[in-house]
Amino acid sequence: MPLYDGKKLAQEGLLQVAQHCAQAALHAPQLIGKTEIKMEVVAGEELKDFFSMEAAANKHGARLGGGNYKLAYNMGEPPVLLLIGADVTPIVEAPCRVACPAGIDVPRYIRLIGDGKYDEAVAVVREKVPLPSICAYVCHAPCEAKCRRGTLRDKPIAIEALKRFAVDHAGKIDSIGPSAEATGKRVAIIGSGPAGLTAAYYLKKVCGHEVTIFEALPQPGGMMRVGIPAYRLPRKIIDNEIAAIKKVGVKIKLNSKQESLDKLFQQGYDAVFVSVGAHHDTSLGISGQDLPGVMECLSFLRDVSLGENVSVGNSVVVVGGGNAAMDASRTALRLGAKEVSVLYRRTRADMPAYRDNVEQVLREGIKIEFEITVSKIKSEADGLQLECVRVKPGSKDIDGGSIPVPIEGSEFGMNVDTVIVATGQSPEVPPEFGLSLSKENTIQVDPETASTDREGVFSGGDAVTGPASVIEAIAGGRKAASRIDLYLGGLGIIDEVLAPPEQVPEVSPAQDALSEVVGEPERPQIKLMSVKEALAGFDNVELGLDEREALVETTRCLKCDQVGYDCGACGFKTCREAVINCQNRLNETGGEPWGWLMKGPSCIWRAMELGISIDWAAAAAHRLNIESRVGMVPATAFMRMGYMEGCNLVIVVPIGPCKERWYFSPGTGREAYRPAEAERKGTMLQYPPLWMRFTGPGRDMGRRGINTKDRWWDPPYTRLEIVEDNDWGNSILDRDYAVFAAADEVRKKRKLRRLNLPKIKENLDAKKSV
Amino acid sequence: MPRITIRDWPPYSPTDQNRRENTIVAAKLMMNAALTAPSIGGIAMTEGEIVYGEEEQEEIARKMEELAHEREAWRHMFLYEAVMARQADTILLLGNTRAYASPWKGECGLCAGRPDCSFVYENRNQTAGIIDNTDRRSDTLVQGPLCTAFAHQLGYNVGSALMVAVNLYIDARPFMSIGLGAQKLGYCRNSAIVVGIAINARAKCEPSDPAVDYHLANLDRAIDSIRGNVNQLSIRPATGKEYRPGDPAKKR
Repeated sequence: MPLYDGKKLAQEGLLQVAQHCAQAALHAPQLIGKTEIKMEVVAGEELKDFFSMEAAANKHGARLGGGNYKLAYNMGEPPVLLLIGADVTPIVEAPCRVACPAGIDVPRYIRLIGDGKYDEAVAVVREKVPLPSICAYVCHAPCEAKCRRGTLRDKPIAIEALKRFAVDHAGKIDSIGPSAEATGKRVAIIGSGPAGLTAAYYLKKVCGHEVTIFEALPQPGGMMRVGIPAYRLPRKIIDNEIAAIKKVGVKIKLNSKQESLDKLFQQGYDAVFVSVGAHHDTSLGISGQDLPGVMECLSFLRDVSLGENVSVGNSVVVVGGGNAAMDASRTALRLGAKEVSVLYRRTRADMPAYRDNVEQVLREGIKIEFEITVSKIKSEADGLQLECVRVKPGSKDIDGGSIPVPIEGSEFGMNVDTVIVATGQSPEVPPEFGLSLSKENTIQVDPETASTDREGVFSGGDAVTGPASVIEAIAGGRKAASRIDLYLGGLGIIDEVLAPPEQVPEVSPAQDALSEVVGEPERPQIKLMSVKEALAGFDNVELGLDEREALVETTRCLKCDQVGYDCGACGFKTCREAVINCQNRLNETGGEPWGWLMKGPSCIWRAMELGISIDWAAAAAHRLNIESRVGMVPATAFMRMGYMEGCNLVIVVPIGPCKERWYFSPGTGREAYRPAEAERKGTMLQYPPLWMRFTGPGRDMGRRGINTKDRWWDPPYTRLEIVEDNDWGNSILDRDYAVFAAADEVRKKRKLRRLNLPKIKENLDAKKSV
Repeated sequence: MPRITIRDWPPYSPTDQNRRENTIVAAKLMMNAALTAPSIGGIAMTEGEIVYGEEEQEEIARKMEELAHEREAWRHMFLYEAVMARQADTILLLGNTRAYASPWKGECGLCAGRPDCSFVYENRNQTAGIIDNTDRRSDTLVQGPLCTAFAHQLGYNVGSALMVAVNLYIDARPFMSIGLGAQKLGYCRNSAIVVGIAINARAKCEPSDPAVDYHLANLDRAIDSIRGNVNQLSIRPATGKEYRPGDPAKKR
């Protein structure tokens, strides 16, 4: 008995070789440095999925390649497959797009604004966000923080202002289109905030489920309606967006607070999405917090938003440093307060409120006092008295923020009419829901699937994340919609194509506007209403860009989504044309592979860069005297099975037994496994079908085929016969579909994003000859 | 009458000359490795040329510098890399001869068209599937569309050549720009797309780690500056400018 099984040892060694190869691939030199190499390893039992795909393809006379893998697997010596790939399309991942939680194609809509196509720009936003106008008014623009113009050069593009400009200047938005066919499934959504509305839109319109939103308040919109004041988000905008969502068939039941999920299931709902938001104020925990004149921030904002009569007196103090505190202080001014102060226990740098919001607070004359806490509130004859104390930063808490420590002897008092407490919010989830909650009272979900620990119950938005931004809630709604659809037996695909195919304009309004600018254009200052006008009511304070400013601003975009050399090798004169073509094609095919092998179009140079990396990986194995080769066709099977997501060109580098002539050579005891032998025994189709060599309209052959009844590779070659045959052309498309269907089975098993089989069938059938 | 060139201070010492000639051996081995790289369908389609010599390299570098000013996007790349073409001990050019006129026909769909290579065929003059490769007109840097699979294949060739350079401990870096410049001058003339590999055997591999403003302040220019100020035996300090002004191609 050997000390250690040699074969097993060798197998384990292959994994280490794969690591070595992966390192080599990552360290390979690049040509233009714009290709991000991605790798995955497939080994052992995982190969069986590939064999099932191969069987499906073989039924239609195709060969996926990689037949040796199965032979070696059967011998107990499977190769380790290193998948190496990259996104080599002309579309480079722009940092702004990556930064957007909802994945809005920012460079594309900036481009369309520059072309003067404002409706189409809004449609691009709507492809990822069903509330584009709301997003344009209140998004905190994480994209701008990552804008390469800002990080590398001067100031970021005013993306948020451009989006607002497009929304304001677009014509009537009718890019919503028809809803999907009804599935008969019912979904209940608790809460009509951004997460709930987003999930409802996709579940109804794209997935075809019947959706009912239950809203506890008398008006829909959740925190957008009752948390964000009208001077930041005009109510008309919310009404229009909600009307559009209702138009696709979503039902909204107002004043319908839900106390039990069981009741919803009893009413016949198949799934429930809990998006109750974070509407519960955190209390100060000090003496006097319940006195009349001490208000909770969200209750205060809610009452004002719903038109209640709220009086704040002349002097107001807001305690807190978040956006809610800023909103409350500005709202108090608009309700007639003469003097408003914000007390915050840390420094300005620590304030969670967005910078713009803080700047506007200061502009309107509100005083922000830092490093102060309130220790007691007392009732006086003429109002309230606050006992305050100055603090300094102390030790760090779990989140890295400092815990303020009182400075002895710094106590002082303040007399005010109203105190608004804005020290935090948390969700209020009824215990009857039976959901696991965190310490902060947020609902605990699986971050991948948005599912709670109750079967059929999903959650998202502030209820899961705690108080966050609208765009993050929208992203949560998107994820939940996809997962709920998967749970209900759908494909989980919620992507929409709403913008028409883009074209390069003959005249560029942006370039025309730029020609009138002297020197290099700078980021425009967003115009604001005068303070006097602003405080007179609840009208939107930001006035937005004018057309000339917006057009010029689009020219500052560095076009990070393009390779940018305009070399023409891919067949398009400029990278912009290539990007547009690529985007249009991705939209047309639903993002699924188009060709038999890979997804195009591609940037020639990025494809070449990937080639260098793959070569280095294969060479690294050779240096260790381990067999390796490169396989393009088998890689397509893995792509379809859901491996290497996001890559459009993938190559398999099998490591270990993969070369027929060496590995299966006579005398090694493996002759019986030799592919040629296997083929003779009818267990494996060795040669590719002949039509692969003779296709292409370039040969002016139309859909013709070759009679493959004869073994054409055996002499005499004159027996070759070229025949007219439309059927084979169609059979290729059937074969493609069979491979996709087999791959989808694997995805289902692996619980991955499913393939859009109906769309794929539609595309393939459209190519068939009659 | 042949061209007679006189330069009263030749840039290369005999030692430089020996070192440069040694790199030709490496270039030859790299070329062989490129030929044995994995090949799509086992089809032969690689073309290579070794460019060696001050005049020849100067010609490529000047072509690159000429191209640099045609487009803003090219400026930085071509200006910096022209210096590297000039300073390289040897240049190895590798091209693919099939990407232009005989696409793979592997139904790969990697280019912008249907998976039957129709995108390439539809954008070329062709008769019965035979593409006219005598059409030299092009209003772009590269005469596209090319077969993407074969361009990807060129990556394997370049990778193999570079791997040999690594094994020989010779510095080498692949350049899109050198290939394009050389191609415009007629090198690798059967190829639709060419990559240039600058091969160096210096102590400092400048192509891998170029200094800021490399087209102005590089080692050769520094040495030449000393020669020009031989009485002072020092480089004149730059005055009135910040220490590292960065890339002049980028507007501030």
